[in-house]
This record gives sequence, structure tokens and C-alpha cells, in this order.
Amino acid sequence: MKSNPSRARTALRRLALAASAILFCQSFGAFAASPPEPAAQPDNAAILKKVEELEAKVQTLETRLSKYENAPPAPSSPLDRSVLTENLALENSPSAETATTPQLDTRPALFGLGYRSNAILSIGAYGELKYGAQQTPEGWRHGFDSGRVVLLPTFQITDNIVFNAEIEFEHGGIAVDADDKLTGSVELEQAYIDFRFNQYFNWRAPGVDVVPFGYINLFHEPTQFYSVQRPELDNGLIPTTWFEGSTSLYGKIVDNLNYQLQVNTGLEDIGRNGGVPDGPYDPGISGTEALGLARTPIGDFNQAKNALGYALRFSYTPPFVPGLAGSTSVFYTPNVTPRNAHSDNGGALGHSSVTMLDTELRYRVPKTGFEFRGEFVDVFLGSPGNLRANNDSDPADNVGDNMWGFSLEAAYHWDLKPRFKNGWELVPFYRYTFENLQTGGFAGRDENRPTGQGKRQFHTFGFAVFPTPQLVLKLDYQFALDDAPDSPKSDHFLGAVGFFF
Amino acid sequence: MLTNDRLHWLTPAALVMLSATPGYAVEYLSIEQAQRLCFPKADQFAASHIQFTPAQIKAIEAASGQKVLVRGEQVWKATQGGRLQGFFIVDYVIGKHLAIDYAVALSPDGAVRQIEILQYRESYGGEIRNADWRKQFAGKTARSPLALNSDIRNISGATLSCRHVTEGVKRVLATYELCLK
Repeated sequence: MKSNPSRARTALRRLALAASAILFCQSFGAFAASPPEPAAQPDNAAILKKVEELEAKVQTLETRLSKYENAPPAPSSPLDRSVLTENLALENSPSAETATTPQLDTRPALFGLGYRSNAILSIGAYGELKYGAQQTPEGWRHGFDSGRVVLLPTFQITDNIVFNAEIEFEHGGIAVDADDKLTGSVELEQAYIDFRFNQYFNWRAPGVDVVPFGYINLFHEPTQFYSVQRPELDNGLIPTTWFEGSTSLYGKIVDNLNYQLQVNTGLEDIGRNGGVPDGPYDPGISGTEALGLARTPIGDFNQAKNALGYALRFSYTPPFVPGLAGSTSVFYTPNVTPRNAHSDNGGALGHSSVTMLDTELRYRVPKTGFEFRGEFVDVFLGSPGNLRANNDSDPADNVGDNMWGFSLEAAYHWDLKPRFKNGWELVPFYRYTFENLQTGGFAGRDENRPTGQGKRQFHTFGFAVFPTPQLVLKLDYQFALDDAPDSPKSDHFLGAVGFFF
Repeated sequence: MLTNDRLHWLTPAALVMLSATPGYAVEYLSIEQAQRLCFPKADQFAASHIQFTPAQIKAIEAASGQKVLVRGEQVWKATQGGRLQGFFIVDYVIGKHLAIDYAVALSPDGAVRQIEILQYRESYGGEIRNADWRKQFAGKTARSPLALNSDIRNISGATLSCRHVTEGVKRVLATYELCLK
């Protein structure tokens, strides 16, 4: 209790001392700032003015100091960045001015001074928007298709565990019933976790993934091909985008030779979701659609058969032919027949295997603009008598024991850099495609009267313009021919805007 | 009881954690290993890192035509008996989605001696690690075109990695010209 008055006294003494000190300082400051003549005795107003000036100066200095104190610390990274401090900036600064006041980069720090190789969610995108005219039995139809816009999230969970996905909005991406007016779809085409062990051996955990078969099925961004539509072989013989529930091993065998081995849910011979109904149903494999409807659904355990599929793809870049790249793929499933499969007269359909082979080559002639591509696909149907298309009362969509096709393409890359500032590239191209979906070896309960529409040729030509490698503008014409005498013409004249970044 | 319940709930999470941390990362070369590969005779690698000024960033972007997304560059001077053997620069580019760490070894006059891929994280496109592709960069300088399908051959199937590493080397060479020469 006693201490309170003494404390107050001490405080007062201190206050008085401080006041005298301030007064002394103020007077000194005023004197110092004044001319040395004793006649120039400052009045109170002048002192007050000086104090105000000093206060303003102190405030300015404080503001500047706090700016430096609150500046973000030099970022660090997993690599040896600790030494990257202002000393280095001084050492390397071009002028003395920057040496004494290091300039801070005020731009947003995307990766800091270095980078963070993990814990970054990256979202890429690709898409293609198409317009133009297509020939139908009723004449030419003009229209537009928001073909696809795809989001590609990737997240590096650790240095060697990576998540990848492809979320696709097709044809407008409105997922509603087919009999509604607006019928787009949203598809999950890829979603998987990769465990990267070393360059020879990596594991893709069970997820949704594209089947490693051919080239376009794996790499189908619009900047990878020059036509508006994907190459015709990928529109049935290979049911691109062919994705399945699957797991893979992949890696390098030796330099220039890689492998991917995938076990997946395989194909199924049913053209609808939800299993085989009691009555008629569409085939998954047919002489008109090839394997276009045979993809297995990825949702809700709705796969209609138990057998798995196996895909093995080797990709190579032979060093003795610089500029050449290619791949050879094989797919096999012991059975595509869904549970309870039946013919239209009620007879049960037994198992049928499917074996597929593909080889494709891409050759960019070094130091020239020429590029050549070729692909060959062969599909062997083990027991065609058990396939639904041969037992569905439709004599025109039957299949034999084999379907195949090939394509050859030539393109020229014309560098427009001398003419355009940003180095545009113009790529005229021509592609010939032949397909035979209805070869011999038919077996089944249907009558066999193929119309010839399974034997097709396509002449596709046009050009693609790349303002940057991430962007492509396309225009092409396609002659579509088949062997049916009354075959409806299905040429097209289409343009597209494609992007990938 | 509570502890037991917690243990029950945590066990699956712990198993996932264990399976998700294999003992080794996919690092092909450490910085030190790459330095030895590029300058086997050097007896010292002195860090001489650069922090860019905004003006330098602008100049590098103008000279290389590439965006500068880093604030500096990791540079080591390789010397043998005090004599400069060259520069060792570690940089990164984004492949398709993920970072590719690579090193560029330059001779004292700024020509590429070799490039080394330190870490590659993408699932596809690792062919850029092949020696015959990397060999193409030897002798390139800031005055070389360094353009894919022109003086640098593309690898189909690894296009994005090829393009972005080529662009990165072009940027590194511009950095040498403006900051190290």
C-alpha cells in the first residue's frame, strides 16, 4: 500500500525529467537549426513548427522502416537456395543504386525464388469447338458442336506419388436424359494415383484410365492431330476415348523403349448400360459401329461381365532413325459376352474373346517440314456366333471373325515465323483411311446380308494453323465412301478451334 | 475405450500413410552428381547464384522470348586449380503439368557443354532423358535458334517436355548473356 505514493512520485519525477529533456532538446534543436547569431532567438511558434517538421520526418522514416521489416522473407526451396540472399543481389546488381537498395520483385511469386515441386495443384485444360456442315441423307446440315472442354487436375502428393484426372464436358456438358433437348455429358475419363518407383517400374493404382492402345487414345488433345475430328480409326475400331476401370505397370525397358501393361474391365458386347434386359438390346460390337459401343461402363459396378481385359503397349523412338516414333499395342480379353446375353429367339449366347493389335508410326523428317503418320489396327473376334450383332435379327450389322483398318497421312509444317511475329505454323495435311468391319467368317442366327457399309474409305484433307503450340485453328473436308450401293453420303466440311495448356 | 476407438480409426490412415511413403524419391541425379558429370575435372563448385532485378527479367524475356517465372537462377562456377571451367546452372520447366528439374553446363564462353535431367515427374515423356536427344544441345549458344523441329529434334509422344526444356535452355542461355558473361 505504501508503495503507491512513492511510485507516483517516481513517475512524476520521471515525467518532469522527460519534460525538461524534451524542452532542452527542442530548444537545442531550434538553436541548432537556427542561424548561429544570438540575435536570432526563436519564438514558440518557430519551435512548434520545427517539432512538427521533426515529427513528420520521424513518421516517414518509421513508415519506410516498417516496409522493410514487413517485407516477405527470402523464399526457401528444397534445393540449395539458402544462400540466395540480398548479398547475391548486391554481388550481381548492375548498378550501385540497386546494390544499396535491393529491388524487390513485386510480381506474384508463382514458385518463389525457386519452385515447389510438390503440393501444387495444377489444372490444365484442353478442348475443341467445332462448326460447319455435315452431309446427311436429307442434305447438308449446318451447325455447331461444343465438342469437348476438358479439365486436367494434377496434384503431386509427394515427390513420387501423383494424382491425375481428366474431367470432360462433352457436347455442352449437360447431363440429362437422352430424350431431352440438351444432351451433353460430363465424363470422368481419367482419375488415378501414380506411384513412381523408378524409371523402370511404376504403378498406377486402380482407377479410371485410358487403355494404352494406339496413340490417339492416349494423346488426344486437339493439338496432337490436324483434322477437325479425331482420325477415323479412332472412331470405332479403337473406341476412343477408350477408358476403363484399370490398373497399370509402366516404365522404361531400355532407352527409347517403354512399356505399359494394363489390366482393365475389358470390353463388353452390349450397347447399353444396366445389364442385359429380357427383350432385345443393342450389340456392343457390330459391323456398323465396330467397337464404338463396347466400352465398359465405369460406374456403380455396372460392368456386365466378369472377365478382365489385358493391354500391353510398347512405345519406341528408334535412335537410328531420328524423328521416328511409334508404338505397338495388343489387347486381349477372354470374354466380351455379358451375363444373360441372348439372341432374339431366346437362345443363350456363349463366350467370345476379342484380341486387338495396333501398330502406328509417326515420322517427322528432321530439319524439314515433312511429317508422315501411319497406323494399322486389327481386331479378331474369337466366336462371332456368340456376338449379339449376329443374333439381333438385323441382317446388316453382322460381323465376321475379324475387322481391320489402316490409315496413311502426310503433313507439311510451314513455319510462318518470317511473316508473323509470334511464329505461326501452317500445317496442310491429307489422310487416307480404309476400314473393313465386315470380313468373312460370319456365324450366328441372323441372316447375313451386309450392305457393304462396313467397308469404308475416307479422304480427309485440310489444314491446321497453330498461332502458338497451345492453340490450333482447323479446317477440313472429308470424303466418306463405302461399298453400299445406296449408301448415304456422309462427307463433312468442318472447322474447329482447339486448345491445350 | 476411447484410445482403442481412436486406434481403430487411425489404423487405416496409418497404413495409407505407410504405403504412400516409399523409401526413395524419383531423383535421377542430385545436383552434386550432375556437377561431377558435367565437369569431371573441376575441383571446386562455387555458388554464384543470381537474383534477378525486374530489369534483368525483362531483358531475359525479350532476348529469349520466354516468360521468366523464377526470381533467380542457381549458378555454380566450376573451377580447376582456380581456373574457370564453366558454369553449372540448375533450372526447371513445367512439362505437361509438373516440374522438370534440369541442369545446363556452359563453357566459360557460354556454349552448352551438356544438359542433364535431374528429376522428371510426368508419367509420359521421359524420353528427354535419352542421351541422343540431349546431345543436340551441345555447342548451342544464345545466338542459336533453339527451336523445336528446327535445330532441336522433337520426340513424338514427349512433345511438351521437349518443347519446354528447349525453351528453358534458351532462357538459361539468355541469362548467361545478360547476367554472367
